[in-house]
Amino acid sequence: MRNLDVVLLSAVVLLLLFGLLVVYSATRGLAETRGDSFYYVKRQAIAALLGFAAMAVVLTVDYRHLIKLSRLFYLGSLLLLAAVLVVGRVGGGAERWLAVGPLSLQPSEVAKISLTLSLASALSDRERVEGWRGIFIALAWLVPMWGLILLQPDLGTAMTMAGMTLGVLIFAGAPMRNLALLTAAGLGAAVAAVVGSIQGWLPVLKPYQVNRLIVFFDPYRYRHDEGWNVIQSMIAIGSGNLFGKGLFGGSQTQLNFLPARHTDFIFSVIGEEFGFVGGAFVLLLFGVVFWRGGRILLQAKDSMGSLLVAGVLSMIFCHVLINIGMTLGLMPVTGLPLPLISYGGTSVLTTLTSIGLVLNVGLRRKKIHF
Amino acid sequence: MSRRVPQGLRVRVALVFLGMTFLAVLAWLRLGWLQLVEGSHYRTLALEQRYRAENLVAERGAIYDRNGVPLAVTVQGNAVYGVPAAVENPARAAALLSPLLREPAAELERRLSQDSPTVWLAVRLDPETAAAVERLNLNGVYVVQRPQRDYPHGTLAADILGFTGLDNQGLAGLEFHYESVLRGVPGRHFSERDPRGRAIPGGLSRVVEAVPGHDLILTLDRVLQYMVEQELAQGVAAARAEWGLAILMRPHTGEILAMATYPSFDPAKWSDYLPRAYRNRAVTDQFEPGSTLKLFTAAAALEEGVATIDTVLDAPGQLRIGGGIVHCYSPSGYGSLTLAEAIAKSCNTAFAYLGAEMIGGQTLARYLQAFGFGGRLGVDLPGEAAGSVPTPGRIAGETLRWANVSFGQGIAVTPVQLAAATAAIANGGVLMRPYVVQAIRAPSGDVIEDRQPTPLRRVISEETAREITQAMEMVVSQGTGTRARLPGYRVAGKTGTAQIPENGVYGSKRLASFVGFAPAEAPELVGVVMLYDVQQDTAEGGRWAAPVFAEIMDRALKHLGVPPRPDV
Repeated sequence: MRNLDVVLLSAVVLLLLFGLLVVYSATRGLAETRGDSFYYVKRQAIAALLGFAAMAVVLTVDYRHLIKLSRLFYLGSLLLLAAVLVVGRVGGGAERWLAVGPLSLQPSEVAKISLTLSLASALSDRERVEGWRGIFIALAWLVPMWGLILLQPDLGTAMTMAGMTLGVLIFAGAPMRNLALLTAAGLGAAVAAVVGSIQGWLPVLKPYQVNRLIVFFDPYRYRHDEGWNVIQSMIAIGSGNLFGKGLFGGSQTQLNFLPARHTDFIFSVIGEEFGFVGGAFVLLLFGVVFWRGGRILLQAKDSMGSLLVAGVLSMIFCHVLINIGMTLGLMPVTGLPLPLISYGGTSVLTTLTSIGLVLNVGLRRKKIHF
Repeated sequence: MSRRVPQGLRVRVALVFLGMTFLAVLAWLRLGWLQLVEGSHYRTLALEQRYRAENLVAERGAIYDRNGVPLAVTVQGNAVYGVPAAVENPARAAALLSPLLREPAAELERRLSQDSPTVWLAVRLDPETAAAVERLNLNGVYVVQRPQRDYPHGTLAADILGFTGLDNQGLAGLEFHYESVLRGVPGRHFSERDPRGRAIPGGLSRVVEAVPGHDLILTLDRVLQYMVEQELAQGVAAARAEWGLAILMRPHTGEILAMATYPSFDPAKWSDYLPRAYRNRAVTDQFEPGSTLKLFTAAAALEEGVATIDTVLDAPGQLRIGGGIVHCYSPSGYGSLTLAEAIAKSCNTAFAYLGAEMIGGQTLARYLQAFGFGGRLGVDLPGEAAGSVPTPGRIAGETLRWANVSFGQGIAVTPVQLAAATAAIANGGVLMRPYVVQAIRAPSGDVIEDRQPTPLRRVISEETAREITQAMEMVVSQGTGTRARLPGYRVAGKTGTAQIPENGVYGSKRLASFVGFAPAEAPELVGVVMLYDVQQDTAEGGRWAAPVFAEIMDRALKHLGVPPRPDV
């Protein structure tokens, strides 16, 4: 186990512990209605323990064996996503959760790992990535999942999956010119969808999604409705100043001004109670994750491994970027959690599992010495 | 030995790393911008949205008459307000409330649909109605106790007192003119609130107490005001006039003891009246005075020495002057009259010559202005009009114009100016500034401001004043004003019957007026009575205004304890 990246693991553990603290601060008022102010923290901690267990399991199996099973995972994920559409629980305007006994599962989180494995498997042969071929193969894996995700609809996850696919393609060696064209086409389609929905001639987005986009440009236009979240988030973060208002001291957080503060807007709580120092600290820890992850990517034994790492890192990066960008008013509001910090069992579980995959690749970068 | 990293991959890794770093730096800069550069702004926003300040109403100062009788006070009353956001069905709520609040349903519905946190639906409700509204149990419609203005004497002195709006803000009269004195300083209650506006238990709360307003103590005498209003109402009815007004003033000080316009309005229901109903015409309106102005023309002649009270003047039936013709009241004229007789008989031709030819426009204008005409006196009531005196040398048909001004045409005066000028004759020649507020008193009882009588200027000598007074006594004893005679008191006065110009031409409407004072030998009260558009066969001031003056004066002098003289 000499090759286990302890620095990466430490950054992950620190983020998780910090997350638990912030979740506690954000939910102690909310949880009191359940008779236990640690209700959310306990659930989150259990999810984290399960996540570390999953990570340990993942580490014992060579990632190449896992990648061989990628088609199975992929099919399973498609089934779960389909199930969500049929029997899913609605939250925030979209069907995203599956009830499994007392727990609720968010299949879109699981789907991201399956997609990563599938892409790593499909694009690991450099011969097959030449010209447009690799891009088409990647799209063939992406599109079925995308379709089911967009039906929920879950724009955040769809954006993340696009980012992951792009990330894997870059490291798989697809021609940069083609990737640039693909990106441009994707952005063009997105703009067309947005403008079309606003104008009404291409109503692909739901009204609340359109409003969130309008609000992104002018939050005060709907300050009592869709703009409320972003405005309250910016007030929370902005009023934190350099050192924050202290743990449990954030008026925005503690007085319920900040909505979804333990899930989507957890970073606003950090900004308010821990200030610029706290926010920068979290960004720094994520920086460590990417730095160590990038190292593993470069040292991977085979391209399958490096692509697997590329997929996981892209996924985490997209999450962090979209989530933090949203709380800072730099991105439209989408319901994406901040990995390792936001309250949400599935997110914690899958993020730790995928970190496990990265560590796995790092662990097996050389022939294992017995 | 690790796998060899292809050269292309290294470039890509570098590119991706660069891109990621760029985005991270962007987020980091944004974080710094929000927290460090704009931080204080957001701190303020956070503070503002969780601290809500409620205004605490300051108790409005009361208004008392000169004897401490309250004329306007603040009491706790029932009011109904709506919270539009909480009203489920504005149309239904309005329909249910309409009969109770005696307001059109459409108006109530409009208010209940406004984009405003709260709207007033009714104030000054009696307890029964308030209870009935509460029984409706409508969401978003509430009954609350709040300070409300109350006028214990109803319509008494309404034109002077004015009224307040829904938020107890002064909108007319003294309530408006002395708003800053009466209002006080509203307090503030700051408290920590959650997004739904609910106070947070144990949250911070800070109260800045309201400072109550100051009281006004008026020169008005409630009893005299009541008498004046009563007599005026009878006088207006008897003369079948459109409206009337009366002023009672102390000649030596300028204190206004009573001032009334009839018909008046109810300050508690002011919105039921047209705005013109709550105008205090004695101050805000100006008229051609007619013959009452002859007093001041005569005073100018005496003071300038162009005539004595016994100078004999021609008094023909008509006089050609300055290219026009002036008529005497008596079609055949009086031949010749002394100045005193000319005042008593109110002959225009004698005055036209006296003013235009003997005194001259320049001098006449100077005296009229000295008497206070053509400029604001600075009465402490809102909307004082200035009136107008023609400017010598700047008008067409100069001689005829001054001939007309001499007997009160072609000049505009306010009733309060007329009262002040008459007082100047009564008090021996000094123009006093009329006023209604005697003192301003703090809630503690300390007098903040004690007003003293303000002499504006000496206009004429005591000698002149005495001679004019004698002529005014003749008006009442044997001239046009005999109906102003009072047993036991010597009365000095002057009648006036002015044609009312409409659209620049004189029509059939007449303004009957009487000015005067009593007792003539030691004046206690100056009075002005005007009746507008008298609808009777004759419209003379001597016929309609003089009796009203006499009734008012008689009751007022007795109320003030001025003993009647057995020899008069």
